[in-house]
Amino acid sequence: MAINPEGAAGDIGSSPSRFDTLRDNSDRLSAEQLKQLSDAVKERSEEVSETGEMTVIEPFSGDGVTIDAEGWAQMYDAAWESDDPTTKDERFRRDVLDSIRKWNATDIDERSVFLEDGDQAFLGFTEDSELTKDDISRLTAARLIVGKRSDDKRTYERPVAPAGATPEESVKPAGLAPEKPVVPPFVEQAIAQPGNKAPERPADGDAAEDMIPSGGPEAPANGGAVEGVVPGNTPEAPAKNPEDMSEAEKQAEAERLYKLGDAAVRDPAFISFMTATAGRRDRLGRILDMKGNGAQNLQNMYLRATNPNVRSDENTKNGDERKKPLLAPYYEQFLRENGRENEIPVRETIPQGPDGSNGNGGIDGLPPSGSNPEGVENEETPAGIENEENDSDTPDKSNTPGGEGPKDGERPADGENAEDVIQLGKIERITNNPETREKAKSLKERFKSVIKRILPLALLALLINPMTAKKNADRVKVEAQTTSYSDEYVPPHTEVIPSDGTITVTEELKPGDPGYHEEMMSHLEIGDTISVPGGVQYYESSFGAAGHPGAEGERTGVTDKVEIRPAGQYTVDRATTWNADNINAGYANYADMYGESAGKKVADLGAEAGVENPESIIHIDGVNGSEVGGQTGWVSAGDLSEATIIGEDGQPETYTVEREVPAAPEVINVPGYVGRVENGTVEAAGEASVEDGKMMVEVDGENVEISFRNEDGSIVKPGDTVVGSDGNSYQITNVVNVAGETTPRLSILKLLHNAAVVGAAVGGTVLANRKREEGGAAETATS
Amino acid sequence: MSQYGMGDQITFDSGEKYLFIASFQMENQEYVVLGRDSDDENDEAFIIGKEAVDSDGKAKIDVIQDVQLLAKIHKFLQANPAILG
Repeated sequence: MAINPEGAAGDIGSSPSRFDTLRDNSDRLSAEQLKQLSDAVKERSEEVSETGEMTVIEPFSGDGVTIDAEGWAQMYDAAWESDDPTTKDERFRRDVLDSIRKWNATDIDERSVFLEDGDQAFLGFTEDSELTKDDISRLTAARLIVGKRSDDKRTYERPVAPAGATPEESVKPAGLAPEKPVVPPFVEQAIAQPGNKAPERPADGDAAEDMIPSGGPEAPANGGAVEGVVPGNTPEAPAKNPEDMSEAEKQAEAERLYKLGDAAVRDPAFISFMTATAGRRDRLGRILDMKGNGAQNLQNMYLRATNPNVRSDENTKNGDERKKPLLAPYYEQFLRENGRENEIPVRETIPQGPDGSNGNGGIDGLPPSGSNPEGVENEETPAGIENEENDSDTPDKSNTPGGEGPKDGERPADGENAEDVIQLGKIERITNNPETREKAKSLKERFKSVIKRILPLALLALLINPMTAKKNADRVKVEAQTTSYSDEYVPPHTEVIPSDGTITVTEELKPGDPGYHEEMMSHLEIGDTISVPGGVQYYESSFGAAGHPGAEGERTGVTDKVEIRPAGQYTVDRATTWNADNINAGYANYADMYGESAGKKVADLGAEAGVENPESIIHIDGVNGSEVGGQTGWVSAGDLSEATIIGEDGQPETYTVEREVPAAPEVINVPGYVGRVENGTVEAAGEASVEDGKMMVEVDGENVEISFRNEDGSIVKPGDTVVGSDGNSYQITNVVNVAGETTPRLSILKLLHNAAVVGAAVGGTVLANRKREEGGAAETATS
Repeated sequence: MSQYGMGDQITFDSGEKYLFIASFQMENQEYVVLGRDSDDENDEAFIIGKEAVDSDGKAKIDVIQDVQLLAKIHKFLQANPAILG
């Protein structure tokens, strides 16, 4: 059945339509034709949608790739070029995706999206149809749902323009399509050869030359425009690997390729050839001995280069200039095989300067400034072209003798590209059904009601419907574990829930406590009075006559521990830092209480001087300057591990510090229970009451009475459904007799309205894990 | 924006049908709400999921089962009822 977008002009599927007319009579669906079609279908979209026979894809938005009308026209072509129904769709989808990825939004005028599928049309039309990945998935999915067009609908044939016709002239009315296209002589010659292959190529061609006539070298890795298209047998100058070219040679080659490509799109014979093979990728591929997508890509390049609707700059529409150099190698082959070698621009040999540059600053592959009347923008450099084209225009190596299989980033060969095909899998989708839409509205209100009225955990149970989840696991790849149960009786016990956190505690450090010395040293100031135990060795004042570093006659080391100092109180009158027993390093950090350093923290000395991990030595003197049983001297801070600072109250200072310590584990008293929810959540929990054969269960914060007996008086058994005091149904999942107890314990599932299982309750169970999930304390009820 | 529209019927290969009823965003993540397509007017089976594409390129709906996330979603929806439209 065909869509008839003519409105009242005819019934759907019964009379000729504009859709059919366009499809049948066009050489290919031009952008303009697509727009007409789009408009026509759009006009009828709402009406047709209600019949369920057509789906209109909503306009697209968002950042991403863009596909234009021409692109879809190409895909339309590609969809029907294969007679193999088993591969057609696969190729179609892949081509769609490839095309989507190739075009960008900067050079597109017509932005419409069109999918024609058998007897139904999908249309997304928007002024700015930038497709995101999801959009692509949507498109592809939509097509899958609808199905395939029957073969008898395949009326699309491409007429062929006579040699010399322009692309526009090649579009002829229906019925003019000859069975055999008019092909130029070199093509005829090629077809006449065994295997329907193109003329022999130079033997030095490698796999990459599937698209490279004349055996040019491979594309340069740096993205230059040359892309291995340098003819290898031009007599005037040998072809070079682009990497070996000087800048001047690269520029010259870029200019030559541009001239070739520009001439190609003006050459009526070449136009005729391309027209004759347009949309016939297989045919073109055979002629040019291309495999994979090379022929299609060549067609795409040609069409882009000649599309009058493609902008090259802000003011003109003259085709994509960037594609012209890429056409050059094919056109060169075309000329050679038609005896027109003399029309091939001569490759120049340019003398190089010492630095290999001709100094013109040319950019590789750009059309030469003098030959680019439309002014290709700088950002559209050949590097960009290369990157873009490499995605699709490079030949498929996988089927080429000596070639390699697809690599990362390369396009796999036909039929191998699973990653490109975004499918909806076995999930079917029916859209725009008025009945389901109304039903969904009702469901939505119900959902909103549920959200409002139930407790969070009830919702969770609702959403984690274990039965549904289990079913879903197979079809939607549920990642999380589903709720599971065990039926064993678990006696009362204590559970310790380790904490993975820490808490901050405040601690008072007293002399002798671990960490006291370090804390004390961080407080020690010049001028402090410290209490020093007996036996601490000190160094004599060895810094010269003045007794401090830097004084005349100083000594360079502190090695002479001369005496054991008696216990007593001393004043810290000087301090400095030292490293590795060498006090020299600490001279700059010297401070004494007789200058302006009284009150300076000893610990700051090293930091101020930028000394990493300094040791400190302090000079101690008797309290108030009077010596205590010996000379004053220098003491290593490390030797004062038992010293204390004497506070104003005459007592050793203590310090209050904060520390991070592991949080204490949570201990929960868990009563005995039957069964337990291992994963997921449980809303209902209960406590068995053995007196009357009923069990009290907490459901949504309310106590619900569940009977052990069915209405006929029989004891419930697994699978029975009983009605609770709240009017809801509960399914008995297990009945366990516990030794020593007269009433069996129940495991239940709550059934809401006899439909969805929305929760689970275990008779006599205190579900400690429920509270844990809420972050609160565990329940301690007993069974 | 979800690819699904109100009333879209999603049939899984098991035959169970759900209807798309809403989508919403929370913390830059988009979620879809599906309700079971049932003739029972009291059927209140819902799924909250996320659209995704698996490694095979197949579309799927990941059912949200993380309880903390669900609790967060519930609170979010309760606090923002208008987000469901």
